[in-house]
Amino acid sequence: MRVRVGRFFWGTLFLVVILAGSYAAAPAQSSVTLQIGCYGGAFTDVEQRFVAQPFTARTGIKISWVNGNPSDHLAKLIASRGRPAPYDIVYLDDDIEAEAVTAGVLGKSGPGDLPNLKFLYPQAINKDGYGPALNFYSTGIAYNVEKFKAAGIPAPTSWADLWDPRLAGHVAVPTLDNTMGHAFLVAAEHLAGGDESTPEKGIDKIAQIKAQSYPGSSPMLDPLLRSGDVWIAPWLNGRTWGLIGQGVPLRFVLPKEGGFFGMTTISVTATTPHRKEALAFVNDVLGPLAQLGMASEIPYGPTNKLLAGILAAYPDMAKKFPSSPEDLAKLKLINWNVFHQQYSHAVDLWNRKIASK
Amino acid sequence: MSATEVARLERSRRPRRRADPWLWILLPTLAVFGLIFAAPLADLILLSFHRMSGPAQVSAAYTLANYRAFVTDPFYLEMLLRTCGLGLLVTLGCLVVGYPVAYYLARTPSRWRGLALFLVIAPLLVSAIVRNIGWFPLLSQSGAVNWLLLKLGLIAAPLTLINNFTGVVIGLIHALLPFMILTLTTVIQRIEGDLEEAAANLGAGPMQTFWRVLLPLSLPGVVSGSLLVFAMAISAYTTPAILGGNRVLVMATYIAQQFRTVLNYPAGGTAAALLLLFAAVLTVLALQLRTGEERAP
Amino acid sequence: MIRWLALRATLFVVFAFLLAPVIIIVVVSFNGGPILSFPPTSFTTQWYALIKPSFYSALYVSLIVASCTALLSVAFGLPAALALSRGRFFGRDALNSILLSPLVVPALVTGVALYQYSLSFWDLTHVALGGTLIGLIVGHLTFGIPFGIRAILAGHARFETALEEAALNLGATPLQTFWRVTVPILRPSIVAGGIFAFVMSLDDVPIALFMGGGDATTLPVQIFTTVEFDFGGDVMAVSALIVGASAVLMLLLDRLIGLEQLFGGRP
Repeated sequence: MRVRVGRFFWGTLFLVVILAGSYAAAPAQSSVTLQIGCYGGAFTDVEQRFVAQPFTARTGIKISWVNGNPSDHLAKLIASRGRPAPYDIVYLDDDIEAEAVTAGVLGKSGPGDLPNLKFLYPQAINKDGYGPALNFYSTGIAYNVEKFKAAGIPAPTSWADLWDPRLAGHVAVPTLDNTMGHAFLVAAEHLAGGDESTPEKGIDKIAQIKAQSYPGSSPMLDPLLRSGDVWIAPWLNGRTWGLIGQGVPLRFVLPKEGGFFGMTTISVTATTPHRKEALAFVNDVLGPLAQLGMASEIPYGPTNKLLAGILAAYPDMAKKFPSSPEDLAKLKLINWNVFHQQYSHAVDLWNRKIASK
Repeated sequence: MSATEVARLERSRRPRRRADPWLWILLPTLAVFGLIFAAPLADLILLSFHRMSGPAQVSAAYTLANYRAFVTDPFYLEMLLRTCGLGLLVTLGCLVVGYPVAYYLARTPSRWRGLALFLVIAPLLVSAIVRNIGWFPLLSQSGAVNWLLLKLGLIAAPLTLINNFTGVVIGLIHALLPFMILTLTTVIQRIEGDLEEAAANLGAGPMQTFWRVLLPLSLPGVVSGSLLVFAMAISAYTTPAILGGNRVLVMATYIAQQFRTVLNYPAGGTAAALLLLFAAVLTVLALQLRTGEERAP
Repeated sequence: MIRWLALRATLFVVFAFLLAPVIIIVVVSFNGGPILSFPPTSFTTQWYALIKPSFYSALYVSLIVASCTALLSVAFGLPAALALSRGRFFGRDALNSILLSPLVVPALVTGVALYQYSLSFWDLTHVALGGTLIGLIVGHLTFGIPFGIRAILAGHARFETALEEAALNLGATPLQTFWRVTVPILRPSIVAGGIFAFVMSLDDVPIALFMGGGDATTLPVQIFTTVEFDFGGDVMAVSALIVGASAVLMLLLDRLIGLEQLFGGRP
C-alpha cells in the first residue's frame, strides 16, 4: 500500500513538473507578439504561410493565433470592453464585422494606415473606415449532376428551383447560424417580394421546402452532399469546389437572380496596444502574395485588383471564385445592419416554423 | 428567575448540536466548486433578469419579462417537454442496453475483460464532431445499415435513421452508453455472486433473480448512472444538431443558439436557468429512491 | 445454452453498435479514394504522414490538461462523495444535486461564463487565465469534479463501514484507515471517475474554445476549427491515431499494473 501511495505521489509530482516545464518552455516575451483571432484550419494555415512567416522573418514580431468561430471572437471582444482586448487583430465575416462596429470594439484604418487599400475593389472597402475585406466568396447553389440526370431534372438556374417538388426530401437548407443560411434567407425574402427587413416572408417561404436536413455549418452539410442523400443545397463556392476536387459529382452555379457576396474582413481592435505593428500585418494581408496564396489554396477570390490580370491567365483556378469585375457584378450585397436588427426575430420565427416540425 | 434566565439555563443543559463533521470534509470541494462554477454561472444567469440591448449586451434595468415570456409560451414548454422526453428515452435505452453488458463485464473471468472495458470507452476517445460524422456512412439512406436491411429483405424502402429524432436518440445512446456501463459495472462488481447462486439454489429463475436480488442491490448504481446519463442527455447540443439535422429543437440546442450566434444572453440565460431548475428538482426526487441508506434529516 | 447464446449475441450487437463509428473512422483513415466514401476504394497510409505538427502539439496540450483534470477531479471528488454518502447534514440532497448541475448546463454556457469570469478575475488579480493551461484545467474541472463525485457515489453503495471500524480498533489511525481500507475498496469507482473526467476533458470543445487559444489549443478544438474548412483525411487519421494510441496505452497498463488491479476483481 505504501508503494501505491508512493506511485500516486510521484505521478502527481511528475505532472506538476511537466506543467511547470510547459510554462518555462514558452518563449520570453521580449519582442511584441500579436494576438490574432482567426478561423483555424486551412485558413489560418494559409495566413501563417503567406503572411505571418514572412512578416515575422522581416520584423521579428511574433504571431499567436487564437482560432474559433467569428461569433465567439465577437463575444470575447464585447466581454472585454474596458479592458485590454484579447486580440490585436481579428478576422471576421463581414456581417459579424457590422455587429462588431455597432458594439464599438473595432478600430478604424484609413488609406494612410494601409498603403495596399488603394488596390482593393470598392466592394471590399468598409464605408465607415473599419477593416477591409481580404477575400470574396459567393453563396450559390451546389447540386449533384448525376442525381439530377438520373431523376431527369434540368440543372438549376434560379433560387426558386430549390422549391421544385421533384427535389422534395433531397434538399438541405442551411440554418441561420452560417453565411449561406443568411444569404438564402435574403434570397427567399426577395422571392417572396420582401427584403432584409421582412424575415417573416422569407421564413414562410423557406418553410415550404421539404428539406431532408437543416445543417448548421459547412462540416454538417459536407457529409450530406458527399453521401448523395442530398442533391441540392445553397453553399459556398470554396467548399463546393473542395468536394468537386475530391471526386464528388457536384457543380456550383450562381442563380440568375445573382449569388451573394461573402467576405472575410480583417480589423485592428479598438484597444490594441500594438496598433502600428498590427496595421503593418493587416497591410501584408491585403498584399498580392497573401491574396494569391488564398486564391490558390482555399480557394477565395482576392480583393486586390492587381491580381485580376494574373487570374485571367489561369482560368482553371479562377473559375472557382469571383475573380474579375464581371464576376463581382453577378453578386449581390446584403444590408447587414438591417439584417441584424431583424436577426433575433428571424431566428425565433425559424425555431417556431421550421426547427420544431 | 426571569423568563430569559430560565431559557438560558435550559439551553446550557441541552446537549449542543454539533455541526456534522462530514460537512467540513465537503467544504474544500464545495469552495472550489463555488469559485469555478457556481459564481461564474450565477453571474451569467443573472443576465436573464435584464433585457438584451445588443449582441452579448444587456440594458441596466431589471425585468422578469424573459421568464414570463418563456413560461407562458406553449412553444417553449413544448421544447422543455421534448427535452425531457429525449432525456428519459435515452436514459432508458442506456439502462436496457447497458445493464447486460455491465453484468457481463462485472462477472466474467475472461482475460479479455480489460480489453472489453477499453472498447466500451473507445468511442469517447474520438472527438464528437468526427464521431457524429462517422454515423453518416452508416445511417444515411444510402448507408450501410439501410443497405444491409434492404439486402436481407427486411424493409422495402430505406429508413430515415438520421436527420430526425431517431438519429438523435441513436447518437445520444451511443455517446452516453459508456458512462452507464462503467457506473453499473463498478456497482455490480461489489454485489457478491454468492447471492445470485443462493437465489438459484432456492429455486429462483434468472428473471426472478434479476428482479428480486440483482436490481434492488444495484439500485443505487442504477440511479447514479441514470442521473448522469439524463443530465448529459438534456445538456447535449452537438449531437442533436448534427444527427437531428437541426429538426429536433431541444433546450440545449436553443440555449447554444442564443449564446453562440444570436448572442442573446438574457434569452439563453433564462432557458439555462429553467433547465437547471428542472433538472435539480428531478435529481432531488430521484435521490429519494435510495435504498439501504438513511435519508438526510 | 440458449441463455448463453442470447447473452453472447446481445454483447456482440452492443459492442458492434459502440464501435461502429470508430471502425468507420479507422477504415476511412486508410482510404486512398475520396474521403468518407464507404466502402473504401484503396489502401494508403498517406494521411498519417500528412498530419500537421499543430495537431501533435494540440494532442500534447490535451493530454496534459486531461491528466491534470482527471487527478484533481478525483482528489476533490473523493472527499465530497464520502461526505455526501455518509454525512447527515441539512441540505445534503440539495448539495448533491447542486454538485451534479454542471453536467446539466450545456458546455457552451459554462465556457462563456468562465470567460467572462476570467476577465473579472483579471480585474482583481491581473492574472490572465485565458489562453493558459491552468485556465483550461479550471474549466474542465467544472465537469470533472461532478463526474468524480458521481462515479464514487455509485460505488459507495453498500460500503461496509465495519471494515473501517475494524481497522481503527486494530490501532490504525484514521489516515491509515483511509488509505489502506477505504481507498482500495473504492478504487474501481475512483478509477472510473478519473476515466470519465479524462475522456470528457479530451473531448471538450466549447470550454477549450473560450478559455484556450494560441499555445493552449487542445486537440478537439484543433479538429473543430479544421473541419470548418475541409474534412481532410488527416483529421480522420488523427482521430484513429488517438484510439490506437489509447489501445496501446491500455495494453501497456495491463502488462505493467494489470487492469484487474486497477479496476478491481469480483469479490
